[in-house]
Amino acid sequence: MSILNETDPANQPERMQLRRDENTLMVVGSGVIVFGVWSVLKVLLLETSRLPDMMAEIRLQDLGLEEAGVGDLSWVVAAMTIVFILIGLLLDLSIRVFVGMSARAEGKGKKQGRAYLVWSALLLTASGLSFCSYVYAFFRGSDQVMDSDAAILVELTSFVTLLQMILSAVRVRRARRAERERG
Amino acid sequence: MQLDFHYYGTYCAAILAGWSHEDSLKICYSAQFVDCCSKALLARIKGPASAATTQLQVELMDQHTDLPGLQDMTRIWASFHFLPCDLYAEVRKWAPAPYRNKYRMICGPNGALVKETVELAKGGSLQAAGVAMHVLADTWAHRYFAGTPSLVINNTNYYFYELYGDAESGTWRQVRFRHGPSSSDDLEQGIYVSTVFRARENSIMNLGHGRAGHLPDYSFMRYRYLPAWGNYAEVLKDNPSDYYHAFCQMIYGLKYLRGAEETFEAERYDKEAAAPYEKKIMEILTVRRPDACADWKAFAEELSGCAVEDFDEKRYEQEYMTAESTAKEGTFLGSFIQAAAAQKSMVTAEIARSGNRLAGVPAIRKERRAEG
Repeated sequence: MSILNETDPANQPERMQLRRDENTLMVVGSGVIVFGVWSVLKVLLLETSRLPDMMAEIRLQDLGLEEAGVGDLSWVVAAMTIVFILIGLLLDLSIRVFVGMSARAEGKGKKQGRAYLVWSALLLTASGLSFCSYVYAFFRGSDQVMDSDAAILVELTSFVTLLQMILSAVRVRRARRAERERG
Repeated sequence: MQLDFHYYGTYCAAILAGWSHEDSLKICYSAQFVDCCSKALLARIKGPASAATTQLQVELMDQHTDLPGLQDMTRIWASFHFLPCDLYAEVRKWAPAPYRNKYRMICGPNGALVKETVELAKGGSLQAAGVAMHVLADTWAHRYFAGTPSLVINNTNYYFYELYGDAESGTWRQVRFRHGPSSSDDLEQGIYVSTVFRARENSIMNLGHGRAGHLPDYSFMRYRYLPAWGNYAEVLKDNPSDYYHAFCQMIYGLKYLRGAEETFEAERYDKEAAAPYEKKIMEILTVRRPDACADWKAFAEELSGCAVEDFDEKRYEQEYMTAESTAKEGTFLGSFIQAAAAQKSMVTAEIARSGNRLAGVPAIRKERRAEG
């Protein structure tokens, strides 16, 4: 007969907690990827809106290039800046996708190395520092306080997501090791 | 459950319970007709829409999910296909009332309402017996799901595995769900059609066992999954065993309705009557195929020695439509409509009596209020 039985080995508290943590890994893994996409979009939107100001700020005469007769290369500098920003964004996104996909794979029962946990710890640290900087800007009364409100919340969520992922991954590994030892 | 069990399976149970061939045909027809009697059909035959015992997919697509719409849906599905097992079930501490009400709508066999359903049919028409048998059978197939739209009760996730092969040597494989409405199940590859995930609590997609597709209705299926309400506890659903229990309980219930048993009690099954045919029945239940009508029909004809006509949804429509309005109640469909109304009224009243407003207020109470 069909059963939903507390005495069934599949429904022992440790097994249920393991399933819960695996499910959490699946969910937060997806969350980390989404936050990675959000980070890219945020920077792209910000930099696109600031592009005219950035162009205006590049003063080649300060570099002495105009006097040297090289000509106006402000567009080259702007293009290189954008390229470096894009490379940075892609790196950040790649790391987050790697971390997120690894977490999801671990949640599905596949064995994963420690690399993604190391990277997630680094992302957690970066997220924490970023959160602190937004809080500082908020209390300092910065001109961009409206941006900071939303950014604080998003950064806090990202921090909590990464923290949850690390904790769940540790619990899942401990539980699976204990199961293997029990045989 | 499907036509094979509701129609032919009920016929076989009725024969084994001692009913005649003609009466068994009426009982099994009524049992299957519960899956056909939609508002669209009733509109076609000019019957009362309140007697609907099911909703077609097209009707569900147009169904509103505001409070009256949800109550209307719950009245139909909980009364006929997902009979609640325990309307007073204990829920976890600090559970909010909306969650508690939906949790108590979870379907399961051998609840107090099943006993009331069968007792309601006692002394009634053959159609009432058929309705009761449909409801009883579905409590086994649809257990662990609720007949009200609810994400937190009826949702499923990727943790869904079926046993491919027989019980002893089969292997567990993960079920893959797809959501195209025109797709069909691929039993060999383990790809099944289910409703799409919707995060909204009262979405139609979260009604009944939609999120598990047709799996509860396949008699051969054995699967394990995490019900949304289970707090990560695993359910092992053994359909062949459940269907066999349903069959034996139907024999017992039909014997009670015939007068061969004095009472109808939960957790009782007439396994002795089914025992000589257990091997045959389990063979029919465990063959991996979408439809077992042919085998059930052959078994039914072997049992009774009579030809069992195929189910025809329109068989009794002319009789009902051409009858005078005062004589409609005496027709086959008229008796079915009365039985369905009685069943719906009983279940709705019991749900309301438990303090649960998911099925609204029964009509009889509204009449009493109107009277004063």
